[in-house]
Amino acid sequence: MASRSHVDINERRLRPIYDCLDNGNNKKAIQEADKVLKKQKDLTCAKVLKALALLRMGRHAEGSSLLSTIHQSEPTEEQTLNAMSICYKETQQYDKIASLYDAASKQQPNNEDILSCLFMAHVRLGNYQQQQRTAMQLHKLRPKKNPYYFWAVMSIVMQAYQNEQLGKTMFLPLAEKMIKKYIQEDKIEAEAEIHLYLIILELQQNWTEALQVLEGPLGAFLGNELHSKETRLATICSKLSKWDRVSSIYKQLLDQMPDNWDFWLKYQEAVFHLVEDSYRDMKQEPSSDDSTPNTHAHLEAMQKFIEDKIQSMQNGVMMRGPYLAEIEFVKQISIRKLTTTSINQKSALKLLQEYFQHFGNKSSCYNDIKLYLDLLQAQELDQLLEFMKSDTGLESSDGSLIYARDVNQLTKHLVYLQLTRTMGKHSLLSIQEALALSQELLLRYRDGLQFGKELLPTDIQYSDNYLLLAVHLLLDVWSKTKDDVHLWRAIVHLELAIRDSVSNYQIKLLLIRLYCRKGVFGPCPALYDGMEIKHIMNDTLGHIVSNDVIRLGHFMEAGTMYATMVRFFVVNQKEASEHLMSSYKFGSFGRIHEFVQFQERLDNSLQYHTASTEKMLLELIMQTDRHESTEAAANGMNVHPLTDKTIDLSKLCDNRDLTLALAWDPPELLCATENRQKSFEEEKSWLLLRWTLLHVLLLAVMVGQEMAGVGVVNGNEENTEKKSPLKLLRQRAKDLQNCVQQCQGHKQPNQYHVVQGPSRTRLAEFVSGPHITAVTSVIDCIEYVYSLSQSGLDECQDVKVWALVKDSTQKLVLKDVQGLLKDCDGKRQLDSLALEQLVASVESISYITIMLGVCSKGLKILKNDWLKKFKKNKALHNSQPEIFDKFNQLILDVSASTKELHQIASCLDPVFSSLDIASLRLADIPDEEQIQREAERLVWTKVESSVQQSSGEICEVLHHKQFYLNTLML
Amino acid sequence: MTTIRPFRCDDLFRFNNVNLDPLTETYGLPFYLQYLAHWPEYFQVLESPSGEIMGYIMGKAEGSGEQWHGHVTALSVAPEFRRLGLAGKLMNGLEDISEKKQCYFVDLFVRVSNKVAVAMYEKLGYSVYRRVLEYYSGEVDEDAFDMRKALSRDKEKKSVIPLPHPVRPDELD
Repeated sequence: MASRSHVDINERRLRPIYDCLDNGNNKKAIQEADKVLKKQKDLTCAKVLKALALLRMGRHAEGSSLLSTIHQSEPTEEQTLNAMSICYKETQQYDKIASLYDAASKQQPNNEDILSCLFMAHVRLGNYQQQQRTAMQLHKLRPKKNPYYFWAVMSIVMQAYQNEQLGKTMFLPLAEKMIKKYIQEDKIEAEAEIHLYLIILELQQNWTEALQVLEGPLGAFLGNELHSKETRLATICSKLSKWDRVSSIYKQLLDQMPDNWDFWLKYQEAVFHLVEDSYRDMKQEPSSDDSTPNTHAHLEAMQKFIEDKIQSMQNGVMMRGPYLAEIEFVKQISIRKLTTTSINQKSALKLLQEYFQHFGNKSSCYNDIKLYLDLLQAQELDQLLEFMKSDTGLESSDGSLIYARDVNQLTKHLVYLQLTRTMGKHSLLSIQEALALSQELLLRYRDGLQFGKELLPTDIQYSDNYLLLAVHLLLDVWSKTKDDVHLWRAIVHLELAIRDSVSNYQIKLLLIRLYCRKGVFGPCPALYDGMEIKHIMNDTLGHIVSNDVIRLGHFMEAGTMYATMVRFFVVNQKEASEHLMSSYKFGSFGRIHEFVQFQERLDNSLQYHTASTEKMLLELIMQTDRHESTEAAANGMNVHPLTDKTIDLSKLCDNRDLTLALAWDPPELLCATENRQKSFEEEKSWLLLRWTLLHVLLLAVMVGQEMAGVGVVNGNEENTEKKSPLKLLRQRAKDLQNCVQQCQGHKQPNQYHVVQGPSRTRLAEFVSGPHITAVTSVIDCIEYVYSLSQSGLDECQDVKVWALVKDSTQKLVLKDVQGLLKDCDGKRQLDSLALEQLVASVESISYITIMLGVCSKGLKILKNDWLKKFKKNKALHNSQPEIFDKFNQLILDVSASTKELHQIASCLDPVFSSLDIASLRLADIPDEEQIQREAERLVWTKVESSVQQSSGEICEVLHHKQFYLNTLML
Repeated sequence: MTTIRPFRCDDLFRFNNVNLDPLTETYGLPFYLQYLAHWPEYFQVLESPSGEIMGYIMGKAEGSGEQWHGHVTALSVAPEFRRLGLAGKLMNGLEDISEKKQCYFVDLFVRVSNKVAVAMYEKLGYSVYRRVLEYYSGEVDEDAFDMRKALSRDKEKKSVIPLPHPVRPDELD
């Protein structure tokens, strides 16, 4: 009792500190902690809470040193340990949590709570061996608590995943033995334990044993998940080639759920295995006659089973499963080249026609039929189209337009049209025909809107896909003719459609795509935000904007967008281990490996690495108008250029969702797989180039700090050997040139599918343009200045380094930019290429400025030294070394190039170039189309303000760079 | 025709076509992962023959005594796969599991404005148990219906007798 009241007093004393911390009042928390400590010097927890407050206030040095003193005293008191864990979690020093509890458990080896916290600390670190050891300690302490024992087993299984070879020979057999022991001693208590046993057996591909478990008394433990026992049994039986058994399991499941597609596929697979087995038997015993009774018996039975299922629906709800199963049956027979003389089988064409008749009014029918188009010959495809056309009843022979009567008919017609496109029929149309069809679909779209009058704003209009098809046709024409009129029309139609269907993300996706294609980023943030892209979508959908936002010079927006994307990943990394711990707590052993893999996929996400690299490069451009601010920005980055290893491209995961945008083009035009691969390679090369560039800049900044005698922050490790920033800078500069060398194949920008393809990077511009040469030319200057700072001005020679920088900087100034519009075969086209080049040049000028800042830093020191000497001994030198003047001259030259770029950027601004974009009518919409004309004007306003913004932001950045350059004069 | 299978982490990379629906909330990762770790059998996904995610259901079992019940946390079907009865299929599955776990009832919350959903749940045997004031926050806060369906263990169907007055979110248990 006495000790209990002691705890209560402590709790009461600490409460005010906790309250302050919870309210974010860190200053007051420190005062409260000091008050408590005055009364009770040895109340360790109060000290920890003070440290926490210090850390939260950003006073890291004080907080950390306080913590480390407490850490060394090896506390064991629960509240103190908890508070310390919070400190370490917030500073992401997870290894210290483990060492904290490790020390505590040595002091109190029989404390279950401490041990269990230690186990979780190892889970957070992914240290499976230590997990196993700690779990066994817990087990010895509480032998009756099953979970501890199985935590140990699971930790062994995780080691098997880590090391496949040892897994097979050591870890899995050990894990199996441990569970067998519990089975023999009749100690199994929970479903989770049997699940774990099955996982172990399956990993060892010990199917026979797994089958025994499922069928034996232990199988009774299973059964919480729907059909999971049956499907698991079937999977094991198929591993053992017990096809008879598999087929009967799935038959039973299909009796209950005749619409489950997976069951149908597996059932058919099993039966076809039986068929092939009986063929083989027959060949071995050639005595029987030609007929193959067994084979046919299997096939006939399956066909009968499918037909029965179809029959049984006649008076009830129509389900797609059995119908599609019948088509799948035909497909399998054709793939497996089985002779089916005795089976009375319908043709694939007939079956697809029937399928369309039954289910054409469901939009999913398109995807279903598409799966089986391969079964048909060219002539049959035409027959299918012909059939669908007449079945929808909306295509008259005299060319007059018949509109859909209801949503069902409309959907059916859309399925027909989409399949027409997939079969490549739209590619065969002439320009006139394509435009006419597009016009017809627009009329159908508008008429179809009547069916959606009652829809909520959160619903999507039934007829929207008519519009998308019409727009895709316009884009076909645009691709063929290169005439932007069609593209602008497409944009106008989409802008109008979004008003009637505000929730249709397909329209927003396509608008973003098309605007970016024309160099207009202004309208995109609102469209992107309108899709409510958040959390994991930052990973899968961030690519929609992340390349274009910076390419088109919307620097501010880029900063916001990259920050949002990076935040998702960083927050996730902090929380990642929480659900691993819950899995151990709830015994969801099947999830643990899955969670670990999932986390790896996020940590290695291409989007994450791209966004964080771009974010840092952007900070070096945006937050710098003098060299001090550059140094501050560089120091604040979570990158350690001296110790970081080159980014490992082979580990990167492509988590982009590239199939979201609807496109009904034939597979050979979409090239989905090929495009993904090509774009992933491009993105990886681009990332490596940008990553290396970032490191070049950060190392350069470090060289400057070294010359000034400032201690260089050396990575996150405390005891690394001292590395020279300059040496590494040389290495990275070489890496950068290698990157460019290896990207010679990327000199022309990749073009992907206009609707669905990924967006391209800026690799082509950086590889073929003057940028990398310009950046590396300044590295030579830094090297030279550094050597002078070591050897003194006396070694000063006339070197060419300055001239090279001047030349390459001048190449960054774009030539022959006539403004925003250019004439292409007598047509006015918006020219976005100039904008892209300009942005790249602005970036390069910014990087060059930073590196000149490094030179200036070194030279200023040299000049001061010289001035001191000069004052002491005026007779010795009568003129200042000419290097200072040469450098000043270079700054003036770079500044002049910056001014020229500024001039070009202002010319892009339609206001300054007195260009009235709105009057241009690039979409050429006839006067009678009142609403469209209006929308066209609106589009032009958006274009105008977007270009204005790009131009304005570019000028702003250049303005800062000029200021920066001025501060560099000696 | 559809494949129903347990939801996997990797599905989170592919469920955009479902989640870009404005009434479907995209939660932070811990939320999904907690459900996967704690109630894996209550998190099921529908996949089409061509491999797209058609929809999913996410739920849990909670409560003590006669309040032990199955709860539908999220249910959504992608626009192009609506009108196929898929939501009903997912709900049936969740009810089956709740029966197995001997729950007394299944409940769910739905925006009062979402008439399509309310009608669908009514068709599936659910009825409004109570109205929850300003349950959904947004530009304009919106009320929710707490809808329930009794399971076989609740023989007298006590769990679904409607409450006469609406409640506030902080009064929910």
